[in-house]
Amino acid sequence: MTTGDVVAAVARYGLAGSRLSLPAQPLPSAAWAATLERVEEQRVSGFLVEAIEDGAFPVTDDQAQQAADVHIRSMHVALALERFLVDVVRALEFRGIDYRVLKGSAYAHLVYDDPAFRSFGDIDILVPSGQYDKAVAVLRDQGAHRRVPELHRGFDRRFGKGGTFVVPSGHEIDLHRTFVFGPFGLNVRLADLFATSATFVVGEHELLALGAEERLMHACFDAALGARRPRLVPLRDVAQMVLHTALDREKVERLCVDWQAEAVVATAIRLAWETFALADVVPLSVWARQYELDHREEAALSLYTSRLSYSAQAAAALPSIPGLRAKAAYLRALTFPAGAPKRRLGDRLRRISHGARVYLPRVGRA
Amino acid sequence: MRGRSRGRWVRGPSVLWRYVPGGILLLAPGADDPVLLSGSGAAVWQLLAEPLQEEDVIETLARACAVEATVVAADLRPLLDEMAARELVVPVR
Repeated sequence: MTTGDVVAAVARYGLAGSRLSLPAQPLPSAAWAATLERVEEQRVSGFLVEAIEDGAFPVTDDQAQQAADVHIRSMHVALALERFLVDVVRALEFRGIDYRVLKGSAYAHLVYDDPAFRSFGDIDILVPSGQYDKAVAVLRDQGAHRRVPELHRGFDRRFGKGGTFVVPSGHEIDLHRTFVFGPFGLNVRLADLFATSATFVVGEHELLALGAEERLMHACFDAALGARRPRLVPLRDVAQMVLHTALDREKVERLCVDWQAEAVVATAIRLAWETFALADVVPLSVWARQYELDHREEAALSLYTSRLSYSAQAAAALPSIPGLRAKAAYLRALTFPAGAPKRRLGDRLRRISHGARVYLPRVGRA
Repeated sequence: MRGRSRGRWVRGPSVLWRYVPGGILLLAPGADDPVLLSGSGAAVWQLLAEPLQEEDVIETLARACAVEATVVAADLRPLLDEMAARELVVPVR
């Protein structure tokens, strides 16, 4: 049993129907140290301490204390981030900016029985495109600065996913206007995200999150497109929602079609089922298993999961941008980013054309 | 025997918290570091989800622990004072 096997079994703890097994005996010290390090890195300490408390993961007293220490550190971060989240949301509300809290705190309170199961390391907030610049101003008022400069003035609001901001306390906030950069992000119908909501309470504050079906859609985007190698927590989020959240399946199917995101959702659910060896068969998992990706979908997914660069995603997004003028503005922003030294513009042109070359032949095979 | 009534208490509304192994982790407004409540402190936090008279908290804990109310009161009052000083609990007016 490798460290990866043990940590995957930890991350699925509490899900019905998983065939992954936890160790039957306490791990030797080196294997335990590696496991604990991976648990902390993957932010699954909530499931570990639950498995230990239930007696499902036998450990020594020292190991139990070490796991508790890791989890307490993780929960300290979560609480500090939630306090920051409340401050940000109050400032957005004061300026009349609509918002939805994504992932982290929202999932902790809405998706899991106990918010302590879900650790997180930053906060994510979605705002309408039309209010994006105003939301940026709110963050700047709080002393936040962008981690990476905007490509071109107004780029994020029109074409981007959003930006990552860092506040003086060191906390990070991802301010989104859509879920991901590139073609899949541009195909999301942003108005759908603000048509419904769910509420959760942090302290004495009621906060807004996405509605249940839109939340599942975002979890699938995060699991399938968020990293080259799928991370355990997003996959757990997907499995948790599919198995334990009341969902309107017809609405999920409609969103998949409207956002051209069947491939994303099917891939995320399939990955979750494979990673956690889930035997439970529910209509969505059956649909995901049977869904066949075409070449175009495989090519688009590979932009997010292979080593292909940002420029390839950028090139692939072009067909999803409506209108010639907008396409031209998009290309201009990519080619001549604000503040870039002139000597680098040639490199950038080459990178974008390389992105187009890498992506377009793949699509061409469809 | 139970001393002068000090009124009702409730959790501080802005306190953020999580269950963790061995107790409850609380982050009070303005505090940088969290507080880990265990044992009777955790029990008090759970009881004060709704406003309660201090005497009712004492009686509930005394029954649960099968000890004299006076013994519980002697421990509880400094604990509540400490929690109030940290804004973890607040008096209900």
